[in-house]
Amino acid sequence: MTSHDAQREGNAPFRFVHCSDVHLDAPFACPDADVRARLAEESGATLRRLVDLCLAEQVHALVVAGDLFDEERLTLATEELVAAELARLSSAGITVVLACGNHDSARPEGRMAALALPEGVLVAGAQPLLAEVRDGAGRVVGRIAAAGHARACETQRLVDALPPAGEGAPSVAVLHGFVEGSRGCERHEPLAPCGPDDFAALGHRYWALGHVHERQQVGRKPTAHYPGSLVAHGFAECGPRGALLVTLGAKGDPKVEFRPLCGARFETLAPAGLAQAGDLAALRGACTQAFETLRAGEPRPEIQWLLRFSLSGPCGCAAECQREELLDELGEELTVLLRPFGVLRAEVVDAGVTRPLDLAPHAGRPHLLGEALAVAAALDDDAVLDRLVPAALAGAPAADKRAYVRSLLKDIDRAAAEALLREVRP
Amino acid sequence: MRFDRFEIDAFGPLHGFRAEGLAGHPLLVVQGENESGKTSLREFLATLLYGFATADRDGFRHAPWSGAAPEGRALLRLSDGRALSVERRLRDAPEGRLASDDGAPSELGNRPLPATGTLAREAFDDVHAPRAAEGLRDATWALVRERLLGGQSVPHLRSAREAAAALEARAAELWQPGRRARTRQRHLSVRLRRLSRLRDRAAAELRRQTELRTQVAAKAWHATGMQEQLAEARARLLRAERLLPVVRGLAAAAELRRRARAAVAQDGFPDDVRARLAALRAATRAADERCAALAAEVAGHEQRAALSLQDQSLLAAEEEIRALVGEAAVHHQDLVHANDLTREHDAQDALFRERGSALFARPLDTAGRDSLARLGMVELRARVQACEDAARGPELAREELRQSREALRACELDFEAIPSADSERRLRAREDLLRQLQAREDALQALRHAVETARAAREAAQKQRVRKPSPARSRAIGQFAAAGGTLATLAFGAASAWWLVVPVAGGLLFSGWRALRVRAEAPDGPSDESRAEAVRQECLKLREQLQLHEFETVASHLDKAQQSLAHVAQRPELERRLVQARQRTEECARRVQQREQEHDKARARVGEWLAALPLLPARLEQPGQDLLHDLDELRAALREMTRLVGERQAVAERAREREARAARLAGTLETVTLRSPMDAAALWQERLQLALAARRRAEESGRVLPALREQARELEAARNESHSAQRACEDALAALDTQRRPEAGLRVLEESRAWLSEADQAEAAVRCQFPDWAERSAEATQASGHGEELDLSTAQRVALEDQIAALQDGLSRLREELEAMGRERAALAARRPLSDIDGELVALTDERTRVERRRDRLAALAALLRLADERWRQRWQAPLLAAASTHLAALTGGRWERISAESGPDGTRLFLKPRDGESLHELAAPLSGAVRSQAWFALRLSLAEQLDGDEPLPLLLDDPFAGWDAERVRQAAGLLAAAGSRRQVILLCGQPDVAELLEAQVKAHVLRLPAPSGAPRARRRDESRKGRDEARKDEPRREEKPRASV
Repeated sequence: MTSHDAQREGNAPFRFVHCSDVHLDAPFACPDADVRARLAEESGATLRRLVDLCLAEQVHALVVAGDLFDEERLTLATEELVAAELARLSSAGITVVLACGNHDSARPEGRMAALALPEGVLVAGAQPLLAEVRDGAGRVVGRIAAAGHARACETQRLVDALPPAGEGAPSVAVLHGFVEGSRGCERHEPLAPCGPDDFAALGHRYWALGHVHERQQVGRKPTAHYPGSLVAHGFAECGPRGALLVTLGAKGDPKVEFRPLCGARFETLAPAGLAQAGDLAALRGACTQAFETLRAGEPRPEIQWLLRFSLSGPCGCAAECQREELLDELGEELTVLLRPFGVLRAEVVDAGVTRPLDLAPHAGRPHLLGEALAVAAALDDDAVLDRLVPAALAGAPAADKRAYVRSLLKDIDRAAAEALLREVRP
Repeated sequence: MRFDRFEIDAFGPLHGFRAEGLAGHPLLVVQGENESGKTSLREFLATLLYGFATADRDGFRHAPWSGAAPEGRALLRLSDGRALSVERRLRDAPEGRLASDDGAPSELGNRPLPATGTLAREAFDDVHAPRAAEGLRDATWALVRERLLGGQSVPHLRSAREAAAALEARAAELWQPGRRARTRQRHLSVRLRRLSRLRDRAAAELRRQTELRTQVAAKAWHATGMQEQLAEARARLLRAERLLPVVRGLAAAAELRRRARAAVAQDGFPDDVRARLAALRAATRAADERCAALAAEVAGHEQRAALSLQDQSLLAAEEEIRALVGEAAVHHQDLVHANDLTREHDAQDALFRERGSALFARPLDTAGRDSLARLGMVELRARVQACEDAARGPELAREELRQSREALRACELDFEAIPSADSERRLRAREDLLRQLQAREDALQALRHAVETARAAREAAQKQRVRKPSPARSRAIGQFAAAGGTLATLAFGAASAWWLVVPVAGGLLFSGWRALRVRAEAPDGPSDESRAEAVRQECLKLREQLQLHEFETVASHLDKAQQSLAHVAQRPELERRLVQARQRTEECARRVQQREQEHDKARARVGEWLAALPLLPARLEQPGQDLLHDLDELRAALREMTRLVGERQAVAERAREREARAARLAGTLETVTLRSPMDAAALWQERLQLALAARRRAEESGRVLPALREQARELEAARNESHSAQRACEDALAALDTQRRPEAGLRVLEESRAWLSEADQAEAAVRCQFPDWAERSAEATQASGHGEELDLSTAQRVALEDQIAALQDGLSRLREELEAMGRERAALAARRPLSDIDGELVALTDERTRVERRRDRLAALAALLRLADERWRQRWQAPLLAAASTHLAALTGGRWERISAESGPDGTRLFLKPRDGESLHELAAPLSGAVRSQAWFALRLSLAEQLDGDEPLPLLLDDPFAGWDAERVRQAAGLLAAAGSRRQVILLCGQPDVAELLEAQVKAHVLRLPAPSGAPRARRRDESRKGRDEARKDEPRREEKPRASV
């Protein structure tokens, strides 16, 4: 029995689309102006695809779990676009619930407060929201409890302010919050913290979360999902981006389906076989091969790509890879080469390329390299690490200088060996 | 192994140079000038150890300049105390000989000493006896690498310094701490700053767009309201224009009638009421004027008849005023005189202070001045006179003392000139000898005279006689002839009897020879000549004893001796005179003290008399007439000041009395005076004249007043009657006015009559102009019922029209503003969006972060390599460099702390590490030459420990301190002294200062080479050194040291 059939019989499941972190008008981290313009257009198009999805799936509600836009940069054109798209949903009788996030908080002087939203769009701002969602016949099919950020830096536990689930229709909680331990949470501020224990306490059957841009499930009883950002804005947000189509029946676990919506993907690729790449042509081939492998897993042929080839480890042309200008040229070549496949931009970065070296013969030997390898192996010792901290750091970290330097010293043994060993050319 | 002694027969410029007693000194300094042979000495010592560097004498560089063969020897002490004697010589071939104290000497040839072990001559020359301050020869350097630095060099490794430098160069391209470096990070930062500014502008534009949206909405709402207001205003104005004439005409007529009734309820006045009232007022005003004129005349006379209090007071004090006016001129003169006296007193006081400062230690206060004034000058003069008299006593006594001392000195000199007892004995002996000599010479003179006389007689006799041969010679001639004849028998056949003939002939020859000899030696008897000669010999002996020359006369010496002896005879008399002179000197000294005490007492008496005055001690040193003169002058000045003060006080008293009188009069007359009351005398004189005139006018007015007062009473009665009639008329008119004013009541009456007439005219006009006046009136009544005001005033109408115009203008402006805002919005919307700028910002920031991380990684990697290098060196570096580093650090006071070596394909390079830096400096130019030589010095010290013979071989350092500063030379002295405890250190240097420093600091033993021949500088130095040595003789004697001898 399909959902439409169940709906006709009056036992219709509660169906809604869950998305978050759309970040309209947020910057795209790309040095190419044309590419940024394309990505900005793609951002609006993604919003339209989201509305199209809601209309096509005839869902009861659209839940946006915060950060619909970046109020700092929100343009009037985007405002009009949002109003127009949401009006399409309102006119179709689809309830829209917007939970304010830290980027579109409900502060009085903020843009959310001044946003002209169509009728039927509910905003959870400074006060929590509990809305009943009705179908076309006026029956209550579900309830949505939402809490929004009243200010840009909301560190209070908003989950405590959420209304509990009521009797009858299935209930959904919407929150733009930080779940400790979630994947990629370290890149986000710990605002409105919550956890699986909170999810179980209030009785909601599905938790529609936002704030962390990695798509993931963070709770099973009840089910809690981060849909990830709707639109990728940089290489920190790799992978397909989209929304979750959730079907919440009277019983059982909710059915959650991911629907990719964003037409542009940022991807960081690590080409394989660098050790055998003796020159830049071979390196280019390795990069192309890595992209082919990636593209084979993407079902949408119209997708647009932003690629970063991160080179690390032993490489046959390490000397060339350590020269910025050659890597820039290689990136441009790859962009031109892969443009027919939807690649907007490709760049190649050196993430620690070294010559193919075998360190084993040198370790423990009574010469300088042996000692350097011994020092590199003793970096856990803070006393040793302190000796390596440069007197002046270019990227001076505010907090933990040791952690910063330690993060720099990945594969430092190979780098030390490469610096010390004379290159033997045939 | 130490050199204990060496001798250089010939080597280079050295010739016959020898030194000994050397083994006991850890540090031996050989100091010599340039070309004095220091280098030759070093080569000689090395040659003793290793043999001649060149076996060919002609090719030997240190061949002696004299052409002799290089040759020398030495005594060496081994560590176990044994002695080795070694000798080297280079003639046709090198020769060498070695002998120990416990074995037979052995031929050494040109071989090295066995104690040198395996250390080759080249290595010894490089390490122990270097010729240059820097560097090692290739063979030695190879030896060092092989033996001491082995294991450091791995061919396939870069040095840590090289690798770290390369990494840091790459890092510096990315980022540098300074803001001036053109690094990649800097380039990105500049771009980021530009973008940030652009972003700020874009953010402001975005905010402006939002504001514009708000403003547009507000302005649109405002425009709508304005349009509604405009329509309403236009309708109201049209309605008012149509109804208002009728309403206004009817309302005006009604209003005029209402006002007329309200003003005058009942009109009972005559028609010419205004003329009637004017006549009554004119009569009243004329009576008032006459009364007022007469009253004014009466008041004037009454006023003149009464004198003012001031005039009365002036007239009462007329006598006093006239007296003060007369004394005013005298008062002024007294004031001037008092000022003159004050100035004169001040001048005297200043003079007193000035002169007093030369006499007193501090300015005299009042008590001091009193003391000075009361000072008894007669007694003071007597005491000063006594003091002056007493002051001459010490001078006279001192003069006597000086004369007595001179006499004593003369006596002492005379007494000292008397010879001592020994001298007296020698004088007497000398006198005896002189007397003997004189006697002998007298005898000699006599004998000579006799000889001359005899000789003259003999010559005269010989001239008269034939000369004969002497018998001895004749006998000798005969014997020689017999011997010849005897020997001739041998030639004629008597050869067989040679044994007889030869002895006989020999005997004859001997006899002849003896006869000749006896004749030559035999005296002619005790003649005068022989006696004269004997006497002369005696004279010569005596002269030798007396140390007289042969030509000196004896008489003068004899006189001197006799005079000296006569002088000796005066000893008792001189002793007596000396005692007397001493007694007289002592008496004079006592007298000097006595006179000085008397003088001090006299001076004390003067000081006691002047104790009450703070006189300067210097003035009391020699009190005299000048002191009396100064005191007299000061007392005269005091007296003059006293006189001036008294006179000034008398003048001031008179002036004060006058001013008191004037002040009393001023108080009486209530006159305020700013300065002296006497200044008001002239003013009082003027006022007195005025008071006298006023008294005359008062007397005249008193005579005319009674007639005038009667006339005034009659005029007052007529005026009261006229006032009563006028007041009745005005009261009736005043009743019409709320203010009770007759004139206003009259105007009200006239206005009321005019309003009634005007109302009738207005109503008639409306009815004539608007036939539908009744309908319009009804419509106006209805509009008024809705609260609309139809009766717009001109101002209201104008305001309404202005409002309409303003609304039209405002609307047009609003439309323009809305259009401008629309254009601005469109323009802003077309600008680059903020998100796009932020995107570029994020991308650039990411790139900058990557650059910064890459730079920090490179810097950390360089630090890792340096740390590894340091650790490796600490663990593996040869003891050589560790010891050399220690030496260098000690030598440079820690400024350079490490010497390190790096081996590569192009050889081994040495580096120095400074204490205050991580970078390494290669031991080569452009590093300072002095530092380089110091590093090599340190390196050689440690190399000598590592590369040695079987015995510790001596260090032969040839002028190693060229270009060093004094502090580092001192540090080096300490190092050398420490090294000298293990091996002998022989330092060859050209600077005497360095030698003296080493001698003083580490007790180095100093040998000085002789100056090269023909070097005046050297001679001067020797002379100066000789002077220093003589000066040192006066100092406490030092330990005797063995000196080099040549």
